[in-house]
Amino acid sequence: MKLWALITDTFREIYAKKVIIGIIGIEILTLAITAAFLAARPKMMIEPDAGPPAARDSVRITSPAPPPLEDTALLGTDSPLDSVANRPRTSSRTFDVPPDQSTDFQRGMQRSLAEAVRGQLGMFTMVIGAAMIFLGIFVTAGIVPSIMEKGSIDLLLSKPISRTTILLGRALGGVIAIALNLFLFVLAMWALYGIFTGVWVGSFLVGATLIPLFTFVVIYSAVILLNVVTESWVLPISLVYLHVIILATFLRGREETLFRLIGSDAIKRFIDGLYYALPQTADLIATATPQYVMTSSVDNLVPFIQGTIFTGVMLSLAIWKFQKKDF
Amino acid sequence: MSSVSITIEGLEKIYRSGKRTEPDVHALKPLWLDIQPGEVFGLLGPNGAGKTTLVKLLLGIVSPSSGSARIEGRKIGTTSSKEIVGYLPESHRYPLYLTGRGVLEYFGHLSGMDTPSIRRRGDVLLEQLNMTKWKGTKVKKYSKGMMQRLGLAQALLNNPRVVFLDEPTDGVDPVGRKEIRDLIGGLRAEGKTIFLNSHLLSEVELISDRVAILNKGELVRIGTVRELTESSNQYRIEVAEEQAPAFAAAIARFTPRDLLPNGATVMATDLRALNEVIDHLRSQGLLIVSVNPVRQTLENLFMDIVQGGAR
Repeated sequence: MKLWALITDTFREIYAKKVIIGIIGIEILTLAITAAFLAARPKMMIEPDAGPPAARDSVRITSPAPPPLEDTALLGTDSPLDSVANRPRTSSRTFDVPPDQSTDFQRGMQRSLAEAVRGQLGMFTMVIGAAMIFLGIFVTAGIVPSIMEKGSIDLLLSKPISRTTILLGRALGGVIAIALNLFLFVLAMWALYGIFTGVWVGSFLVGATLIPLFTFVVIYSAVILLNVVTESWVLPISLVYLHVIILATFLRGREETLFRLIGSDAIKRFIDGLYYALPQTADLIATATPQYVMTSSVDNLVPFIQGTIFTGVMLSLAIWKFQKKDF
Repeated sequence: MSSVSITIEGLEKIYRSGKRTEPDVHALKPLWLDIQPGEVFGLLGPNGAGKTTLVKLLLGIVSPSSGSARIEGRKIGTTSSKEIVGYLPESHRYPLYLTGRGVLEYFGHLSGMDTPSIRRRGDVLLEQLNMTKWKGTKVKKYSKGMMQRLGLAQALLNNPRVVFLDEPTDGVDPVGRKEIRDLIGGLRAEGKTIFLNSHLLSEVELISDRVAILNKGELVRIGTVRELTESSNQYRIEVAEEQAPAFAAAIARFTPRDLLPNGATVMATDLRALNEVIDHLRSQGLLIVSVNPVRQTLENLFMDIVQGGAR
């Protein structure tokens, strides 16, 4: 009951802020634009007045997707791949297919469409993940400092509830609020794509929710520690943005960029150490998330293991510091 | 229930600066104190005297540098000790997006109460504090006095046995102050221990059973209001009005503090010294009408202590 009270209060605090209303507004706008974009795409269809396939020389199929590779021979000299490359994504294509091969052709087209949708959603997930971290941290960075203000903290600490519960209750409330917002947005996006394309990408529903949320939790654990130490949100948010925007990207590509400029092995080892000590945000958002959406699996589990250890260390230090602190 | 409500044994707090250039702050020097159940205990002292530090130590908001304390036998800072206390901090802040009732529900839940109990008890307290009609209003619209009343309701919500009140009438109008004093009187009648921190000396004087005065982190005086204010060693002696001129001449050798139309205030360190004065006056044929100890006000005593005059 006590933990639940802290979580629900944090939830209310976040949703009482105008910034979250702005974020929800942006999400609704994004969904509306996506819906308009998807609605404008032509749907796959078989020529309605063509009669039964067996009675005709060919079936006319109109599709927004590129033709399956194995069926390109059906289409004569006009190479479909060349046409696909030069054609706007929303335009439709019409293929005349022999009736006995039309079913296979349609299946192939549907596979291609599914791959195209997965590719789009994979890219989309990277944007969601990055936005998730920036906006989520912006919204939640103040919820621990707000209880540490004079007049609030005295009252909370006088209640029969442990300091660990207070800190974790606030943190959990923040994570739940962000998770709910993310899940509803991803769910709406998933439904839109499913309805308009007929392709229901389950891995998008899971990958676009869980991996960005995991990344957010990893980053947020560092924010909480910095919140407790500094009793402020300004420094934590600045450091986290600096890491996510610059440091994590450079560390991820250190071998291709930094190491070519650096001769010293000691500095290279130090940079390597930083890469493994700090959250591997870029690996999680730019690699793992789209990969999961497209293939339903991830190759590299190191960012997840590192993130879990990092979160544990950050939260343990935050709890230890919060327990020792005089207010 | 323990026979002593609050036991403090050598409780001390030093805030370490952690820097060579800044000295440590000795906020509370080792303090020994017992507060009885059902007692209204007033704590006085200027700013920086260590009053708030003492309350925060007792509530586990800061940890002691040395010493210990117990509330009804429960070690301070533990969840079990906090279960039996209520606290109204100075300049308390409540979540502005909550209504008055929402604040009570939030803090009630944190105290381990269920929603029906919070509503029942909350309604009674809000009624007592004339806040019923505002309970559905968001606290961001509350005046300072209303916030204070809500704070009191919050502090008493879990029916605590020990209540810490830091400036409970701050920002409250005179009528409201009277109501709050009556409320505190009612709590005393219920046998609750009240630890009262206030700058309003007259208020402390009116409702406290015992008063302690802290100065520079040190306990300099403690006792009932009567004990503290009658220890001035001053006595007012009055004679019959027609003997005033003879009295003025006779009392002159004792260097009176105030000379009145038919009397004077004299200093006497003890009863023997007082009787010497009386014997001298009677030997001069004067008829004494009354001899009364002069009580100084708590305010005068406080000012003497703060300005370094009394210990």
